[in-house]
Amino acid sequence: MTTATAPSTTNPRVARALRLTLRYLPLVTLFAVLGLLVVYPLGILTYATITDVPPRPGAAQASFTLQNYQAILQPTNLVALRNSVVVSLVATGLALGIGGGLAWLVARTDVPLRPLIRLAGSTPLFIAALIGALAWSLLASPRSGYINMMLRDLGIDWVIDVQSMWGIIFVQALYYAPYAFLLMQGAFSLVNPDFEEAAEVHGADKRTTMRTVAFPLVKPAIFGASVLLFALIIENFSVPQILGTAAGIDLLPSRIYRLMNAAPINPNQASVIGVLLMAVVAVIMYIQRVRLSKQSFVSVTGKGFRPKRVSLGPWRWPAAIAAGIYWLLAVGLPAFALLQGSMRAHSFVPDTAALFDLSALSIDRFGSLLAEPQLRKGLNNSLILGVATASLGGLLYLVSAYTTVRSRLRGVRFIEYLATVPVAMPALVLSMGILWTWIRIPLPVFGTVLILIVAYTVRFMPQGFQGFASTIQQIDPDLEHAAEILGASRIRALWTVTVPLIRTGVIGTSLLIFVLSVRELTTSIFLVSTDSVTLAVVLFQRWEHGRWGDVAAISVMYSVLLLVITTFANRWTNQDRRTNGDRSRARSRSKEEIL
Amino acid sequence: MKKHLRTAAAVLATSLVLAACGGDGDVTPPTNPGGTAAPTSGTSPSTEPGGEPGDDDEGALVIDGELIADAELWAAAQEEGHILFYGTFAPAVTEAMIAEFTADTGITVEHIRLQSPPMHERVLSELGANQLEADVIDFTSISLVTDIYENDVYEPHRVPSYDDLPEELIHFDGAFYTVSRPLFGIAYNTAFIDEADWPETWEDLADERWRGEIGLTTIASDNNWGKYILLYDVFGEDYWRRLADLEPRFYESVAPLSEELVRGEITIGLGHVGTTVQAIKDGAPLRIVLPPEGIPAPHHTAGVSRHAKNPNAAKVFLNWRLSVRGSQVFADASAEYPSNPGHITPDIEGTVIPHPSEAYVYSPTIEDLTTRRDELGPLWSEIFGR
Repeated sequence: MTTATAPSTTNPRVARALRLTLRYLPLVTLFAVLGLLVVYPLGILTYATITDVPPRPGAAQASFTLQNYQAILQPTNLVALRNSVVVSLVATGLALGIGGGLAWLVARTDVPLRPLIRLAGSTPLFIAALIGALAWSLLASPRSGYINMMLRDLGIDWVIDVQSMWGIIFVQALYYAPYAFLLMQGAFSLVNPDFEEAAEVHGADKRTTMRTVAFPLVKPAIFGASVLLFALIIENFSVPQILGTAAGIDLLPSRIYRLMNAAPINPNQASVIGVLLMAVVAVIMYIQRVRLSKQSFVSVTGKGFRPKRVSLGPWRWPAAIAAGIYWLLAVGLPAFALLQGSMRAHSFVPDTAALFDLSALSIDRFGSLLAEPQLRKGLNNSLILGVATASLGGLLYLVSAYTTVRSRLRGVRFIEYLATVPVAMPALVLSMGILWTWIRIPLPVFGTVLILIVAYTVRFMPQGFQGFASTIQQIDPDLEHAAEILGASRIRALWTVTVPLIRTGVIGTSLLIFVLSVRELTTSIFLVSTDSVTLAVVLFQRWEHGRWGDVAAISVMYSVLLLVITTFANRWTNQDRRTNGDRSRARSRSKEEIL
Repeated sequence: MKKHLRTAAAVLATSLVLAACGGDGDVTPPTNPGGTAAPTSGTSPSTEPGGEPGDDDEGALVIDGELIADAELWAAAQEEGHILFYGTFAPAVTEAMIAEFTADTGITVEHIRLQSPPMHERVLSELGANQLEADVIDFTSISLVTDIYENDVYEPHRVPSYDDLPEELIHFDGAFYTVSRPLFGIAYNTAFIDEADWPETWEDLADERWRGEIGLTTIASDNNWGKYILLYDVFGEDYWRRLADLEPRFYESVAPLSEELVRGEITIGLGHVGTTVQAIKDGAPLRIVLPPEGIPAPHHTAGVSRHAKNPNAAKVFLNWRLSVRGSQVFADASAEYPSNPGHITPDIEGTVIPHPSEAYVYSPTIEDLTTRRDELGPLWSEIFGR
């Protein structure tokens, strides 16, 4: 003990201990933060699965039981599980196809109207799945949906029924595709075309090059995105709730909803579902890790490159049109439905002609809503929370991702699991774990706006971590090492070399976190207090009370707000990219000169 | 009728204005010269007041001749000037009530709103962590509020209108009270159903002509389960089977059911008065009927917390809530049943709401929601396939 406290540079053992401490200190700190944010609440929920009373503070002495697992693993729930897995798998595949396709078009091809296609890939994100489902239920409910009404009035004997299994899959694919787009856009734009050129030089045609070179290079991004999408979709509760309940389609989230709305709620059994989903995600991640572990995905090295675009030939315009159709389905038509809903006194529309009768439409609702202090407070809080989560949470995700990808210290791999598994925990249940955690901690967090920042940081960690990690993965660590050899500190090397290279990815991911936080509903409902009420909570309360017109109007405001903010941010990053582009062109030029 | 609609509009308008100030906690107290409260509103009904003010009401809070708080309580409540209220009822109605309460008393209300099941969890968690700071806690589930009561959360309190209230609305000698009861009936869309076919009774709802047209709620929440218990008790298991046979569409709550009813996705269903009346006021082609065989009206309860930071202001809030004045404000804002029988039921165009004293009002008991639910819940699931 005495030797440890007495600073002695001559004692090699102390020096070594100091070195080790310094070396491991950042990692230990990171683990401590993640422990508090993730391990503790998830631990409580896991514990809840094997006890008979909820592990809230002051609860009666619990006894251990397997009853919760037995109750969940009964045949009706297994049917719901099977339905959920099927719906989530198909929707994930579609969302990956749409989002990944758009990302590839934008990042790597000569598709026309690229800026618009980039918008098509990202703007649906402004419409929460809940809102998208409501809008689509207005558009394509079997009897009263606008589309079906038009078909009927045109004498066409078709019914498009979104209140069905396919309807759920369709709407989920529409509104989860932007995640795939954002997660994969960064990865696609960092693929070094040198590899592709090499393949082509060796005689491979375009398709072979794509299959054997381009796509394998972005494999981690694809795998990461698909695990994330699958978990997000299987956990999503609003779409099946709105489109599946009336049609009698039973999915797992409906079961969770019932457990969490029963009187009293049954968080123990609901936690079982969460823990099982977490286990599934962890296993998938493990398999993915084993499969990808022996490969390197570095494609940005010390050599400069100019992102080369693949020529689509005759497919240029069809590709652009397909992107336009996606935008129409995800944003255009729903926006029409929401505007209709927000400008009508009520949602009864007798026929197609009435749909375009302008005298029934009024924008008064927007004025009266904007005059409501609660709504203004909610808006204000949502924006503050968005910025706070994107910056504070973002920093944590970035550090975690960077550490996981770069550090060779033992145990770092575990961070990836910690940062990803929360995705599988249903938000309704997760908010309970966060409540039980922070109500015990004697810090002024619970009951303030801070608890929401904590909750959002935990909830969006998987998206943030994945976004940052897939970008960093492609940057050759030698770039930083070179800077360090030239005398830069680790931090400086990071700041001057890596940060500019991953800037697009970082800004994209931060924007994603911002948008998700501004939209967040499920954990907010549970954790808000009067002063921390958010716009989404105001929206939900209107929905709950059947004020559909208000819901539509608030959704429109939401979308406009997010559109304005992200457009500005996009412009800013584009400018930024242009300057980076100039730099990389300059590098390419010098490369050409050398050649 | 016009007068009542105007009143409701005024209530809402005031609520907006007051909520604007209330948010920042700087509501100007109403003028109560010398601490003797004068009637501050001309909207109160002319019915028999609950608590008759006596000779010693100097300094007491009296509204329209009705005693709300005696001098001692009123002085202490004014001193506190504020309450933290955990609410589970429809936010719009609650905010309208709060605005009128603040206008009457100058006491501001911080309203935190959750649905009953998460509220139950939050209250118990805060209680366990010694962080329960709410002054008044309400529930729209009699089984959950009873559990909260058993955790010794409520401070028994005798409101001035105690003797006027129906016995079944006072729980555990005033530990908590039923402050109002949401009403359920048969809602239908008049754009699709001819006047000759308009339903009037529960018997009409189970008619073959509604095959594929009917919307029902699932039994997740206590209130939704309560409706089925009434139908079971009045008509027996066979009625459930007849309903199930009509290929109903199911909704987790009345809000989405009501929305699809307005649009015409369904044309008839188990409706909720508050939601339906609001849609009617918006101009939607809906009607709701409260059938003579029985009106499901679950308890919406409130009580003062034993851990209240502002116990006196909290008691004034509960007193006001259960007074004729508070009950009338509630009835006008929601068209549902407040607890004080001294109120006048509002006149909603096309909807007849009988006074609770003149109707068979059925409020599910704790047994209905616990032991009978365990017993009959599986049968319901078997019959309705949910």
